[in-house]
Amino acid sequence: MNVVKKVALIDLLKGMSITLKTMFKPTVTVHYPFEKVPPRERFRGIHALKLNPDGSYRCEACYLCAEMCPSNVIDMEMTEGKDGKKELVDFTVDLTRCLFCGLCVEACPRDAIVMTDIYEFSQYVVDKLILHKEDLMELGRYYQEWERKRK
Amino acid sequence: MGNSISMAGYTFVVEEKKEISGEDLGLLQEKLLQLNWGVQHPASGPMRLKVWVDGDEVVKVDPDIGYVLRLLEKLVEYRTWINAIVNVERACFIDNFGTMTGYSIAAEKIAGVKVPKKADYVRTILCEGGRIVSHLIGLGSFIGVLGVHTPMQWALIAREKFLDAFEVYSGQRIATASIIPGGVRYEPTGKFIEKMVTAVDFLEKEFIPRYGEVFIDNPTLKLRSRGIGVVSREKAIDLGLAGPALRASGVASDMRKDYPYAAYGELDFRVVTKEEGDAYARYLVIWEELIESAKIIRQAIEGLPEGEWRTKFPVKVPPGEAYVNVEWARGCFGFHLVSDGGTGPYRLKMRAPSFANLWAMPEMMKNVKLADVPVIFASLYMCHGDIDR
Repeated sequence: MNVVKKVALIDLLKGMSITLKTMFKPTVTVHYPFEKVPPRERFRGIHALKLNPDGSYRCEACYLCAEMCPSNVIDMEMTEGKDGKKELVDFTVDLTRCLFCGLCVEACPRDAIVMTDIYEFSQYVVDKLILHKEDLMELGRYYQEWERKRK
Repeated sequence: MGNSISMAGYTFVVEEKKEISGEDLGLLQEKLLQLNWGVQHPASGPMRLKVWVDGDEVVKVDPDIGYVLRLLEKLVEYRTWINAIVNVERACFIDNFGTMTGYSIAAEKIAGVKVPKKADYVRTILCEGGRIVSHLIGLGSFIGVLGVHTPMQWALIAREKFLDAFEVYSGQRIATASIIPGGVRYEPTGKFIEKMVTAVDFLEKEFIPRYGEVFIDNPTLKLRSRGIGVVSREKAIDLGLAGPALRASGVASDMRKDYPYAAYGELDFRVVTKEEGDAYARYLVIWEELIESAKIIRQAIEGLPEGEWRTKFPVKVPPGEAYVNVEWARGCFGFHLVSDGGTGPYRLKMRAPSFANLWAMPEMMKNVKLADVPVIFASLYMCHGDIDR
């Protein structure tokens, strides 16, 4: 039996049949920089500050997101505005420390801080990884457009 | 001296020849040689084993750990009750759901919060998904230490389907941060259930029948791992082994069965045990647990109740303490959580199964061949993040 097996190359043929079958199956891997998998609906990318329809920000500087953050990423600065309301001076998100757990989004009572689907944000300079209020509002505009498209 | 160095003009002062005593040479006198197995070894991971060998035979093994120490237990003391999960899940984030579940149950015990039933079921599905993911890596790396790296890639194909399901559920593939005190963070949507069923289908109908022959009936694997690192039933209990390593020695210890948590009390499954207690038995236990876990996921998906998936967890928790054991992929994971009435944990002590297995390893590695060191090491199924914490 063994001799017959060896002469007829049964094992070899068996192996080659599997090779042939898998040749026509779709590949499992993705060639990343050239092909990209779209992120999922709940994907947690970099942060953004959502805007009201009139272009003002929603954040009320209640510090709940900063309280909730496990690695103290979020910091904000505020003053009293003209009409006695709280006004944001600066809102910083330090991406060098962020874990992208999304707990800040969950804590926000005003739905002001959100997470976009952006995951490619590497920079040559560390300072550029610290997002300020203007950057976050710019991202907020992007987020709202993306949200509208998704609907 | 007629050699070329002296002819080139160099002069050497040769000391008078002394009789070299063995003590001067230390271990060499006894023909012992200390080898460093790791940190750069492909199978060791971030840890070093000091291996003393006599010829080809291992005399003594001393593990040197601490390369991935992150002080997770200390970091938890600076967190609130909810956001401590991000530190707990990083004990080993191949199977992060088990650790998060254990911590959450401990916190709920102190606070007296009752979790909705749906959350229990989702936790069960996620925990078993995490177990399968972890076991697939364990199986792949076990064959990997024997020098064959292709099965690892096959295992990763099956793992990818589960990671896909986790991504649909929580948004991230590995560091999901999805189980919190008071339930689970996200609603288990139909899409997530669908992905999970596809993953389990792939595992049961494609992966196990197709690769089972290579993974289990592999003559090379049997030759290398049978009868190596044998631990008897009594010795396994003495050494304090955990998880698949303990079950391979014939001890049917499984926290899911002994002290049911989450939804395990309502599901029907079998504790996999083997009697041989060698490296191959430990490997087989991991393989058969894959099949069991797939069954548990199917049952939990069928029995998934309707309703809420999260309740409110108080900001301040009354003083008290709790000890909770969960059956994590690599064994029984213990959480001792203490509250002093503040907004965060006062102290968290994690009892890691890999750490217990690690300190049983020097006993098992006495008088084995040097080539068996990686086999025993991989069969104990340890995670380095879990050892150091």
